[in-house]
Amino acid sequence: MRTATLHETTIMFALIGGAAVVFIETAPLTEAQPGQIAPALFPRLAAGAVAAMAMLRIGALVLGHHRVEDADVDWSWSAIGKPLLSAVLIIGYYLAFDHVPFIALTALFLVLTFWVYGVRPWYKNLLNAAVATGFFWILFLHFLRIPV
Amino acid sequence: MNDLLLAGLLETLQPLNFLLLAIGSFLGLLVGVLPGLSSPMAIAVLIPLTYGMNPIPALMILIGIYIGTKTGGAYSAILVRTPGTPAAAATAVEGHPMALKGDAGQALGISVIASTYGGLISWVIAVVFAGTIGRYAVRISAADLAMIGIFALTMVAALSGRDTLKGLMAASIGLIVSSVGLDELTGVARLTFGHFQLMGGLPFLAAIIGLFAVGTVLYDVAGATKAAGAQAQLNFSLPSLRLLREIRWSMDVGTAFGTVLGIIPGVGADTAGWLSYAHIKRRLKNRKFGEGVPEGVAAPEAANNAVTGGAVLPMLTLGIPGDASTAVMLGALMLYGLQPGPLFFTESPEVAYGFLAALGVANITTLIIALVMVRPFVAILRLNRSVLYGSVLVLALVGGFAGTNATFDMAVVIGFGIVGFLMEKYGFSIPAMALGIILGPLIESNFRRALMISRGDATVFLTSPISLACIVILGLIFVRFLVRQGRARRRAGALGDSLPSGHEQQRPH
Repeated sequence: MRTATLHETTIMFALIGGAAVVFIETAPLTEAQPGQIAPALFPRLAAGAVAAMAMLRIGALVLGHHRVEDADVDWSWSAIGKPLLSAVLIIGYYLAFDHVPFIALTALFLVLTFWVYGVRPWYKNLLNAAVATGFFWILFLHFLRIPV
Repeated sequence: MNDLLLAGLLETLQPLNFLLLAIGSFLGLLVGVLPGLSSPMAIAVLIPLTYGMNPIPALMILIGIYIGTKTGGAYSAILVRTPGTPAAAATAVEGHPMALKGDAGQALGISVIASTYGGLISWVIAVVFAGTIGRYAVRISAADLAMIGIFALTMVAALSGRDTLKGLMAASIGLIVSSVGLDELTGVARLTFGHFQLMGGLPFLAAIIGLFAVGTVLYDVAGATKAAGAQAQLNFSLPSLRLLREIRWSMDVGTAFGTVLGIIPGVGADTAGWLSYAHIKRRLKNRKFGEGVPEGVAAPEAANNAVTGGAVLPMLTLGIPGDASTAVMLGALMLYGLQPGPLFFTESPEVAYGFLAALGVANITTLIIALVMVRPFVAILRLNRSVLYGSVLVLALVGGFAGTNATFDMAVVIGFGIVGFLMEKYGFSIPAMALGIILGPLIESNFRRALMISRGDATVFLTSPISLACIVILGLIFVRFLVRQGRARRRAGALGDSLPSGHEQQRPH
């Protein structure tokens, strides 16, 4: 099976799995009070629609009625390296947010993010990070009074 | 209506409100000029910064951004053939050849004037019809409103990407996400998985910021992030009266397309731009299109700004957004404690007409700023976008936190950011999912209310004329979709070739 088709099929099965989770999770909510519809109906209708459409797509893939080009699912390092590193930095920012002072954390985050995104040489990186951090400090702490 | 509109105008012209509108116009132009940043992203990221404001001043910034992005997208489309926003994609076809011929300044002048023309005409139409639609909208039943919501969602899902099925799946997932939390009628917890933070539902603004801002940035950084490159020599000039007379018809065509298509959910500014361009190309057969025809800049630019008047009409009167930007603005209005919809013009007339008045004034402020700051905006095209993307991430993360001062919201931003990245990668429509999240409560509550009123009789959706019309139209669209799929398959079989089917994700605009 071609890579792209495998990816597409996997996603569809994952969506069917997600729909199943919705059905299981809403199982205790299927009883309706008099004159009302059950709280489970709406999310189950939506989940059912997702599952049905996913199965349609799997059928189309198997029968060859739908093709996905390989270029759509490039997972090489050149395609996902920057997003992956960026996601790691974002998660690190979130985890450290309550423990590290805002200015230090934001400056470090921006230096590393700019480096991942290719800002060179190092002094341009530092300068951009310093200016941006200063801007955010003034904006969030002094202008908007967000308790960061 | 006139008194209320005048009051709205006076409110907009208050020094602080006018300043905020101008700031919004500037930010919108800036976002529009820079490829990779979009109007829904800018609005979503900046909403948290307006938390401490009253609704009307807060809306000034958002409306300014909304109008500014539609105008700013032409700069990079003309100068470097990379539209700043999808709405300006059609402008690049004639605008860039004009720049290569040395007429970049004239092309920019035409784009700015045409944008203002289209925006103002559609604004007048919106003002004329808003009150009338608002008066009739109060008679709409719960069944009608539920079906209108489903119709809007289906249209967006079907039209916002090349893969209709994935668009519909994205919309359905958005509906599931919207049902997380305590059920409004019974009070039971749904899909909270035992987490108390989810009892109030997923913070939808954090979800929107994650999808539009973080997800888009994560996807875009995999591609080019350097500056856009060299620009042609720029001698900015406004079109002469003679040229304005020549392009007037094209601007009218663009305005008509934009206003009408803006009303239809899911048909955004880029579609209006392309359709108006295609129309004038068909009609002006003696012109050499593709080599820098001024009409080819005027029509799409008038169209993409005319969409704004059309799109806000259903948003204000029915609570149904016309495009991705108005979808995010609808979320903002709800956060400010307002409820656009059938009762908006009667319950909150000062806000409704203030919104309309600001929309008109924003076209003027955007025109002035665009004319005054042509050269700085052109210089901004040389900025390294990596710096902007990093800054957008900080804005998004802290913006998500600012909603409730809880890091849980930041986690939601990150979670939906990763989801948004995967959706971009695999061709699922982000606008469809966002609209599902925003419209889900409206659709569900009216759906259930309709069934309660009819004591469980589902034929209520068939007996109400508007509801029936929505069902019939959706049915016809579905049948047409199946027929086209069947024809395409038969054609491919006859050619002995299988159907190519990649995805071309349309960036929200």
